[in-house]
Amino acid sequence: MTNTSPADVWTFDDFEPGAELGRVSVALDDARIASWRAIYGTPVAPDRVPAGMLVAAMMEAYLKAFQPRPPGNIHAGQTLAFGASARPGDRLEAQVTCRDKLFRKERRWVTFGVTLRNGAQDVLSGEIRTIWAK
Amino acid sequence: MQPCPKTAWPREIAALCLHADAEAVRAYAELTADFNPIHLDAEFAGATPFGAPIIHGTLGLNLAVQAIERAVEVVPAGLAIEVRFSRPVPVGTTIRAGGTLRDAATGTYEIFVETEAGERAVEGTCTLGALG
Repeated sequence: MTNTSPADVWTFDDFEPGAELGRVSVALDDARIASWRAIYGTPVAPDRVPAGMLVAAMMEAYLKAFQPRPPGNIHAGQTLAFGASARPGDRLEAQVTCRDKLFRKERRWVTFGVTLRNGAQDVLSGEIRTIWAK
Repeated sequence: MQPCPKTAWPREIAALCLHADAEAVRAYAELTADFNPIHLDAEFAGATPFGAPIIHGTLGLNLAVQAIERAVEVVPAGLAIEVRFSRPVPVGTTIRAGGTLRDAATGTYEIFVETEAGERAVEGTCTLGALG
């Protein structure tokens, strides 16, 4: 989802708890696995996608689901619930929602939910807790 | 012959280390499409309370996830992780991630990511579930 003008970044006031913010497709292809390996080394098992790579895919989906954003947002906390494993070559479908927002002590707290599915199976779901910059 | 079934979770999640230099942070930005200038732009980051670029929180968290996966070999469905990013980590820091078993019945570990000086940057729990 994109705000109408490039200068029209997503601000705290734009978020509505419960609203879907976007859907993103993430391919667990050879290029992605090579990028992962360049940082973290050889995966534990060649027939399974590393669990951490699923977390990276979650972050990509969260980043791509809605743009543009103000610079300087802070990732403050994270929950993760793993489900079925994924294999190299699978394509995951991610759904990103706004779970909650709260203005407290001059900080704009926004919690996002992300679910990654492989077909009908949940692969990973979790919450991204942020302090939004604007 | 086949591997014996697990009868207990390991007491420790053996620590893994990663030198989170600018190259690793750039590579992680490319992997996740997270180009927040707080991680990549020295001028921008210098004007924030952090004073310099910091690594992505999940760059460190994923080192902990790697350590968990190496410790248990197969990540069980139902694995739950909950962490807070308690301290920013400057780019160029070597980080260390691991964990210690706190509740054998539920397979709950205290997990961490820390700097080479022992400052905790990510703190939380990982629950693998009951065995058998």
